[in-house]
Amino acid sequence: MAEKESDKKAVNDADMSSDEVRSPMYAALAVAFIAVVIGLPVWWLSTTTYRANLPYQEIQELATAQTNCLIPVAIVSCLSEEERTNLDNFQAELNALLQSDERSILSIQYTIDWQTCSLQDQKILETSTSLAELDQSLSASKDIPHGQFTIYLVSQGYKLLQSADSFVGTGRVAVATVKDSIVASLIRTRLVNEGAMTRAYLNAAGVRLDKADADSMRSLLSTPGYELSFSLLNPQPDTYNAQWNIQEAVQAYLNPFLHKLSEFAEFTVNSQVLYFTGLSIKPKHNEPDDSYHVSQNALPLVINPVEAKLGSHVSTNPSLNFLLYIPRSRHLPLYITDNTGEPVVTNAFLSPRWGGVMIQNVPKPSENDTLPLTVEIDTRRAMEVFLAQLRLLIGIPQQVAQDKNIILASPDQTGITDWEYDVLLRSRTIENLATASSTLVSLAQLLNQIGNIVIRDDIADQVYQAVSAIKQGHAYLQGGNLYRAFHDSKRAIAASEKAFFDPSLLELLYFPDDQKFAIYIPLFLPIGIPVLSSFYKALKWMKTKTKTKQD
Amino acid sequence: MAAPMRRFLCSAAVVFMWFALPCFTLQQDQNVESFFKSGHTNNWAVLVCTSRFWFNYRHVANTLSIYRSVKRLGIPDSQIILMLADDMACNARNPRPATVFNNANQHINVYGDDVEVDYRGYEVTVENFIRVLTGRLPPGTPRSKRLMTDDRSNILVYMTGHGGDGFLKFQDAEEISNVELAHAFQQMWQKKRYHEVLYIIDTCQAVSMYQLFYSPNILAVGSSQVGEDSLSHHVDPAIGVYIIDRYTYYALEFLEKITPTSKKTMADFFQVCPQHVCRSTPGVRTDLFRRDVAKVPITDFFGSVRNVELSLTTVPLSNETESTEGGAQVQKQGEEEGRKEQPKRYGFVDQFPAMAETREKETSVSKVKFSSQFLVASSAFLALVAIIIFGRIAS
Repeated sequence: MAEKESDKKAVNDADMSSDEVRSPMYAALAVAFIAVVIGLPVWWLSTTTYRANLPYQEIQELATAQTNCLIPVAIVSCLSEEERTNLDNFQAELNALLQSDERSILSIQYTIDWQTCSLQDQKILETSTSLAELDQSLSASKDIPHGQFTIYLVSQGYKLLQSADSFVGTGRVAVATVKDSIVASLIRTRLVNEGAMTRAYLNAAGVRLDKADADSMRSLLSTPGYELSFSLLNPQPDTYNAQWNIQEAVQAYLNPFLHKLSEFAEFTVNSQVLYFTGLSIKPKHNEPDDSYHVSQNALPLVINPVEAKLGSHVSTNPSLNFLLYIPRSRHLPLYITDNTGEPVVTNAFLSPRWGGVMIQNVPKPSENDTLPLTVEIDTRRAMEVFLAQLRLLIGIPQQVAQDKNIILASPDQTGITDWEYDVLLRSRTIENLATASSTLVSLAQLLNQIGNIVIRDDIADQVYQAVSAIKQGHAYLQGGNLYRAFHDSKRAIAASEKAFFDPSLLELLYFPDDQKFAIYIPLFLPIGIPVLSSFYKALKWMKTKTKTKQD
Repeated sequence: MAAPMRRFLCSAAVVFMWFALPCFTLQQDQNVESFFKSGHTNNWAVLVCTSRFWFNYRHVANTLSIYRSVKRLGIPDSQIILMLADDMACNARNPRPATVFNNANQHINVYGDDVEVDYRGYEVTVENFIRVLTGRLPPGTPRSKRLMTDDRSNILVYMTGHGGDGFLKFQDAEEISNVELAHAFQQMWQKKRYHEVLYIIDTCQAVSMYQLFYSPNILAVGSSQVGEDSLSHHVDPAIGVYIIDRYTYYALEFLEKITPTSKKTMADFFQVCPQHVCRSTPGVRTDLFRRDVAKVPITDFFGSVRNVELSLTTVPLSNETESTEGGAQVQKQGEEEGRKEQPKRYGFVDQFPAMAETREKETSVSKVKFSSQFLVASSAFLALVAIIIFGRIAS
């Protein structure tokens, strides 16, 4: 028996070094080689998600970039002799007052172009008979581009200003005296409205305040268009036959406004009349003048029942609804009262980001009248109120309580003055650029966090376009060219939204780690174990072969 | 959050402080900063029932009951996204066709006449749900199927169905995991698609679904802890299935007493189903929510109380249309335009191509054209064939 064992061992040793063993060993080595060199890379490449190149570095830079806004101002001094001597002092003072902090993330800077009064301007200042005429002639004499404005300095006792210190026209021209810091405050709070710009920037950057600020909640953020809808609510069409010529009213009163804002956003207008639809108001009877009062506190729940009947729009643009309500005959006349109990002059209220409601009181029908009584709606009055509400809902900052020091010219038929349009454009530009930057930053973060989102080439294209538009927008803003900056910001936000909200950016199936193992083990382990063990045997054989060669 | 983002927000917050002082002092002479009562301007609801088949009647009844409450308290249909398999009311097994009840007394038909289901049947999938939340819907999606929220919208998200530890089953075919849900909410936060979210989930092991949330301003309620089952409430012998779940039953009892002007708070809502009644222990998550829950009115999420501002200013407009000449002119213009527009008629596109085009095509079609590549390739092939045949014949 011992002999057989030793014979077997000899045979085994012989087996290990004979040529017959060579090909299986080489085969095992070849299989291992193919598995590692070809198989592993193929598996790796075929299971990675396709990601087109994105400019991650530039997007990170955008996140911390400073927004510099340069505003060119022209100041023309048409002062009298005595006051001209103090001009240098005034200049230094004004420059100091308009200084802004360079370190802040939104920095607003002014470049002042000091000019002397030309003979033509002098003549206009002397010969104008009213502020409106002055405004018109001064605006006609200069062609001021978007985003800039001109201030004329006049002597203290200028006849047209009377008791006021400054006047702002409907164009981009203002007239001011050299008293104290009138000019600085005029620039900062009215003509440029730094508060509105800062609010717009912080809103877009996502800073949340603890208290709900009315000015930032009222207008909708960065939309490419609005759907305006005007509805007449007539709860008793058997009593009142309400006629409103809304088509004419829109053409005459609203279209000039929309036309002026045509580059700002896309507007679609529609109108309707709703019968047998009323607001669910329970007014209180006011004895002294036999009227009905609705207090401000009862208004929040008034809109909800009507909302379902207003109809929905097809486009994805936000809609602003303006309702004109004719009260029921038993509630006439109906007034909205404020906190002090006084009726509001306009008899209207606004709901932020939704629209406005106005109550139109019609004459009560007497006994002899044949029903339905035909009433003509004063659309001009309604449009005055709706236009004011629309201005607020779009984002034009509210010019509150004119103090007696500043005379603000009321806008012409278009409903918005040129400098208000500039304020709107500037704050919208800053908002757009900040929103687009934060969108791209969140997209980059998202891709970092979630590994299996595919980025196609056209989405990468949009991202590149957005980045370049943002950079260009910032450059134009820094150079003071508001018009181009605005259009670049529109392009930037359109591209970034398109890239972020593309339907293909859906996270593919998510697998937790243990499930991943559960998928791969049944595939790789049954093949892997034999390959590895034969590879190990082959290595051992290679070692013994080299040993025998050496011997 | 990545470091640059944090730095950016910190610097933005610091800058706000920097600007706050001059802003407020400048505006003191102009206006007192006006504040609204609440920080949101609109309310939305996303109500999802993730099961189908007759024996899951109670899940549909749950969802529809919440839908009814939310509509009653003021949220309009255009701001509610309702996802149901919708196979109960007209199910062949339903002894009360076209109705869905949530109580054995059958007092209220929660299906009703005016239910608007936005995603029904097989459209209720994980993919659609995530797309609705994140806003990544294909371009042709109608407005009623989109969640058009902004940074001042409060959203109520209610989910019910069969769940497990870390997942929720969608229609017996797929699952949504808590990781995916947390990522979806984070994407909504990044894109400022909500102001605050109330997330209610009524399934087994419900709490596991909201454990991984990490986005701010989310308030979450689950009907049972991890390892516990949520139980149904009672069976309706006339219909033959369990018709409502315990948590939702007691939540509805609470909500039925709420009116649009109610002063009840979210803290009251969280007391709604104690353990001795519900048999499972409801869980609440408030650490991501900034406000004090005892001061949040319940109508902030379930109802729709709007902020209002009185209009104090008007824009003066001059009379453009009331002068008779002007008015008559505008009218005449309108009539002329009307007359000019009358001859314009609309029609359908021709089904068959116009005859002139076909004649041209016929003349051109009579000749058959081959491409040059085809000719080269076919001639090469034929040459090769000929050579081989000759070779064979020769040999």
